[in-house]
Amino acid sequence: MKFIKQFLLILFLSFLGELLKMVIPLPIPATVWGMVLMFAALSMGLIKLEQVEDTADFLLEIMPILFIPFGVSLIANYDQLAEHASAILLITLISFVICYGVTGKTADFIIEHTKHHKEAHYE
Amino acid sequence: MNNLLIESGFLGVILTIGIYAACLKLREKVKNSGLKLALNPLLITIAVIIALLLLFRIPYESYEPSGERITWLLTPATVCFAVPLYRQAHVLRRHGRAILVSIFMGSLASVGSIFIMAKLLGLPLAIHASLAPKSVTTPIATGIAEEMGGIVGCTVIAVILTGIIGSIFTASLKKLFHIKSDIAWGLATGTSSHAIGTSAVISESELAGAMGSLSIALAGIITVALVPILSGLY
Repeated sequence: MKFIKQFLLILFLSFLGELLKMVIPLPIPATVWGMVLMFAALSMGLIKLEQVEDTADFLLEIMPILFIPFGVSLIANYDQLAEHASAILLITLISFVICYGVTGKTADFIIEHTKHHKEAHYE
Repeated sequence: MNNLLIESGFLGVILTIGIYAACLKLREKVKNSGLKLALNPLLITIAVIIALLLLFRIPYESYEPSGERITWLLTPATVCFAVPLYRQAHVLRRHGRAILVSIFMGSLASVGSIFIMAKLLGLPLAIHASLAPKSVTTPIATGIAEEMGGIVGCTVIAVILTGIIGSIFTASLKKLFHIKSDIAWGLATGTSSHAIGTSAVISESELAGAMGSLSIALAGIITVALVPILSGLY
């Protein structure tokens, strides 16, 4: 019964996410709405962590497997991309590294900076 | 082989999960850290399935139904990212500014660098529009690409490719960029390589996983606003 209730609750939130997507005319997908709804429900105490936790951890553990079919679909779209393949690869790789570096260094910088600031404040 | 794959609802699913599990098992046994990195289970499983399909001359359409049986859980699984996020909510309150500013800067860096490189390489607008949203999660990225006149198939591939690159290199880039906190690590991974990258760090650090989950939602929303602005200038 525990898993049935948890799974049902998670599916229900996914469905609510779909409904929000239909109603709100923004290009925000149902999954993000669902995530926001689940977070809001947990924060407001409408759902207790124990009511979703075990099933959520299971789904998160198997998540990488859920992306495999998208990767395999590469062979179906091969012709469409062959022409610009090298440019696409290059841009994908370089912009990924830039984005990673900028985000990580900015976050580290602000965290360090606030820490020093707070320490100075205490002295 | 082809008929069996079409007739059976589970052969493709077992193959997919089985190869993935074998990869994980193999990776546990390997001691060499470089080899461990190369044995990325997501990448290897995709490569092995593609190789099997080509080897037995099986068209992609025969695998597709099995694929759909696997991917339908993706929406509920993504919704569950809220759980580690909630467990780490105190970090969110404490480091709100660092989180917001770094995700914004990272998304801008991604969209901006793609814009500049696409211009330099003289790519057509359709390809630029397909690549611009590639650092965010598949459903948001395809939504943006459609709006901007991109090729959705190309976006899906760029998004998945970015995610796989992220899941392989996130640990080595953390060292390369000297990223100190798990908060920054999670933010960098989630902003640059969305759910696929994040699913690779969540087993290493729940904090990094939670920050990655947050980045998926926030970077997605920020990119929705940024791409139309830059595409208008292209």
